[in-house]
Amino acid sequence: MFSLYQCTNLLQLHSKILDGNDEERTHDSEEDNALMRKVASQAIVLLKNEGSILPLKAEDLKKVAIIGPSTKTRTISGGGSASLKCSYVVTPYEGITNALPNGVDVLYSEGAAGSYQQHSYGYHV
Amino acid sequence: MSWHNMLDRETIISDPLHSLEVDETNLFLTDAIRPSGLKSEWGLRLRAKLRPRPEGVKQFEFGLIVAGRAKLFVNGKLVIDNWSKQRQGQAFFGSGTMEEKGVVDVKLGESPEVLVEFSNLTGPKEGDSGGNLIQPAVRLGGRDVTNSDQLMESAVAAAEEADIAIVVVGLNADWESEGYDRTTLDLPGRTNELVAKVAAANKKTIVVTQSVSILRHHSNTFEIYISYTGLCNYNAMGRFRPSFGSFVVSR
Repeated sequence: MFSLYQCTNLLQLHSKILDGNDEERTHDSEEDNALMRKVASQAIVLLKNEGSILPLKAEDLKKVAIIGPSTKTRTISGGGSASLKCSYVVTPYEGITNALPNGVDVLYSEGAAGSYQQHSYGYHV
Repeated sequence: MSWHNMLDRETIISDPLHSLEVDETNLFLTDAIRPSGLKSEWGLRLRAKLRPRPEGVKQFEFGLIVAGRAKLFVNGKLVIDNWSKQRQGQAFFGSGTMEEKGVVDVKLGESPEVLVEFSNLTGPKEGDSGGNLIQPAVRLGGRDVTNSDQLMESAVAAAEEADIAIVVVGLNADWESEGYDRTTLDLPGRTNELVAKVAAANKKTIVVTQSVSILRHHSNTFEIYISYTGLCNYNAMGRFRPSFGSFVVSR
C-alpha cells in the first residue's frame, strides 16, 4: 500500500505530466500528419460497389451533387473522453471538391438535420 | 471567456479575475485550470459573435445545455433561461440539463452578439431546489431555422440535376459518446428518408455513412463506411485509393 505522502507525491507528479506548463498547445508535424492521413484512408471501408461505379472517372463528371448534414460539419471524433480538438479540419465537402477536376459543377444541399435531438455546436460562432 | 467570482448565488461580479480566448462552445470544465482567487462558487461569461447566416435564412435557433446554470443573451436580450428553472437531461455523463432552445431573428450580413452567463451552482429542478456545486460544463449549439420539407426537396432537386449524387450521413458526438446508450439504430432525424429519396432521384448515388457504432438504413446504393478518423480525414476520403480507388480521381 502507498502512504498518503506517497500518493500525494504521485498525484503531483502525475499532474505535472498531464498539465505540463499549463499552456494549451498543439504538437503538429508533417510526418505525423502524413501517417494519420494514410491510416485514415486505409480505414475507410467499401461495403458495396455494384457495377463498379467507384472509383468515379474524372472525365465522366460534369455535375456532382454533394448532399447531407455531415458534408459541411466537422465530425471528427466522438464525445466525452473521445473528444478531440484538431489543428485543422477538412470537411467531406472540401475533401470531395478538392478531389474533383476543375470545371465540374457542384450542387449542395444539407437535405435534413443530422442530429437526434441536440444542435451541433461550435460551427456558427 | 472570463472567470468571475459571485456577488451572491444569483449574481456574477462584473470584474473578471481572468480572461482568455477559446474557440469552441462545448466546455467541460472539470479539469480546467482555475485562476487564483477564484472561490468555490464562481461564474463565467462567454462572449462570441454569430457568423453571418446564409442568404434566405431568417431565424437561428440556439440550444443551451449546462451542468450548473446558464443564460443566453443575444444582442443583450435574454433568449434562453437555463438558470432559474431546469429539466434534468443526460449530457455530461448524466449531470447536464436537457437542451433548452431559443430562436432569434437574423438579418443578412449581420453578426449578433452572443453572451452566455454561467455559474457552477445547479438551478432548481423538479424535486430539487438547486444551489449545489457540480462538475461544471456548458454547451452552446445552434442551427439555421429551416423548413425540413423544403430542405428535402432541394436535396432531391440537386440529385436529379447531377450526374452523380454523394450523400454523407451518420452520427456525431451528440450521443456517440460515453455515459449514455443510444436507444435506436436508425439514422438521426430524417436522414434515412433523405438517403432513400436521393437514391430514388439519381441511380448513381453514393452513400457515405460515418459513425463508430452500427447504423441501420434501408436503401440499395453504393456504400462507403468511415469512422471518426480525426485530423484531415476527408482529404483522405476524397482521394483514397487502395481498396476501391478514390471517390473521384484517376487524373
